[in-house]
Amino acid sequence: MLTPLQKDALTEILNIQLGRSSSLLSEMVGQKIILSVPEVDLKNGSELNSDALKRVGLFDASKFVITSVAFGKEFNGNALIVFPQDKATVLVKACLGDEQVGEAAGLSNIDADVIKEISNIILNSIVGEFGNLLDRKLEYTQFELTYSIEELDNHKIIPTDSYVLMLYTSFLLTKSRIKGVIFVALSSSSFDMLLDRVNLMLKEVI
Amino acid sequence: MIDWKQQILDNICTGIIVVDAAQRVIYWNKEMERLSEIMRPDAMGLDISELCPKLAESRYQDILHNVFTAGQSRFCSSALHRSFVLPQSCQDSDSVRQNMMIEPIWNDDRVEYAFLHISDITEHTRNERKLKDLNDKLSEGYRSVQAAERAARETAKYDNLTGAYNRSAMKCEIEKIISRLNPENGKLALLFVDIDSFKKVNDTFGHIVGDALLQNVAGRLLNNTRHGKSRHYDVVARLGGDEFVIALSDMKDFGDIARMSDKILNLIRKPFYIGNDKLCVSASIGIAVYPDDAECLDDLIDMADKAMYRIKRSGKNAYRFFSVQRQTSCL
Repeated sequence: MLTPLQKDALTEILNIQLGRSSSLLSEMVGQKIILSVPEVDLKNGSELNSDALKRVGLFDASKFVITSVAFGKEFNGNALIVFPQDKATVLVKACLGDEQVGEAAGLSNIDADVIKEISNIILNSIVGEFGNLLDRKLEYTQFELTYSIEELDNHKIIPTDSYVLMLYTSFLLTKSRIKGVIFVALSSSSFDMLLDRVNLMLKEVI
Repeated sequence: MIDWKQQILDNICTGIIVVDAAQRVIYWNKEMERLSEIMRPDAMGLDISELCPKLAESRYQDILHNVFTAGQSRFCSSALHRSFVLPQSCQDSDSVRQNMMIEPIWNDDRVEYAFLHISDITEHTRNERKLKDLNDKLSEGYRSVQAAERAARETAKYDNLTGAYNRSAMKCEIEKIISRLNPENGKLALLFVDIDSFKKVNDTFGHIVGDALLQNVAGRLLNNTRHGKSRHYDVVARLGGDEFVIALSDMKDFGDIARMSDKILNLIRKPFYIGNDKLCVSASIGIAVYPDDAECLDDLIDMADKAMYRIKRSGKNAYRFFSVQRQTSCL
């Protein structure tokens, strides 16, 4: 549904924003964190569930941490970031070092707060960039954190009739690489707005 | 008229601040008074950075700027930021932990105010740490118990005096050897070894020397067989008193078994030097062969025991096969 050129354009836009998020996160946790989106894909909301996550080979874990935020008005949708729980624990450990409270098997409330803040920064930059691109002011709901993959399966977070940008995200830390995935679910009209803008940009370049 | 909204905001356990676009405080609730020790009338109208100096740092200024310009809310976790506002009387500021959320308050299409809510989670963090420490100690304790159990299980296999296997471990170890033995390639010889006239040693030199002799005999047997801690081919065990059992695996033929039995007799015949005493002893060995004599371990032990008693009756200091035919062919 996206041409290679459209994919490239979106990947580049998102990587510029994530570069800024990387600097912010690195400064905050006192170590180098490189965030990148090597690949962007477009899916239909009805195709997205935990099985789809397993099929793309990202998650063979059974436990996940999902942070989500809804945004609106004219350009509207849901954005969420999904980490396998064990990878989220590695990320928290890398960020906190000795400060980490949780056990390897799970996340404490304090660890979950760290994931919530990191996700908040990343989703703000991605959704914010879409707002800038379209010159639209966005309103956001509260960030919500859940461990329930059923919410994804039951399409409580991603509506079946939405278009979903799937961003394969990679966190490069000093000692490890952590993979996550970001979903930006857009209504049909919002997706058309975004695509029109991307096409316009491509036309200007070509 | 009752100002119920004011009462609700003053009764919740979250510090609430509202600032305008110039970052001047236009609301400060009771919990903020507790967290900062700054009373509402003193806080109103002041710049937020004067009341919470940390928020003057560029990263928080960027967040506030983003709230007003992009309408983006932002969560700041205690783990990464520790705290945002401290009372002047605070003695232990390092231990204070607060979460903060900053959100826009919209007026039509414009963000008019920023709404900051600060939750004091110091006690909660302390409790989580205590739980973690407790959990770590429990895990460490559990690992120690497991290690002790493993060590105890290992120790329980050996005879305290000689370090050879004890009776119960012997059976288990020999069964293991039998299970992997291919009778076409080799036999297992079960040797029942009894020190001759051991009672005399105890009566003459005392039990301490008697025990030392048993330790020395076991040492020679262990050092001269293929008895090892990992995969072993032979088993040396002490059944009690002066009785030992040796299982020799992969014996090619009866001649092989006879040569090993002779070797063991010679090992025991060599003098033992214990303290100032020189002890010369001999042994009698009864032999049963798997699978030729029996396939059951208890039967093999019983046959070897009987063969050993036959040699005792006929003069000691020699070995004897349970099967008379084999005894004759090997001599």
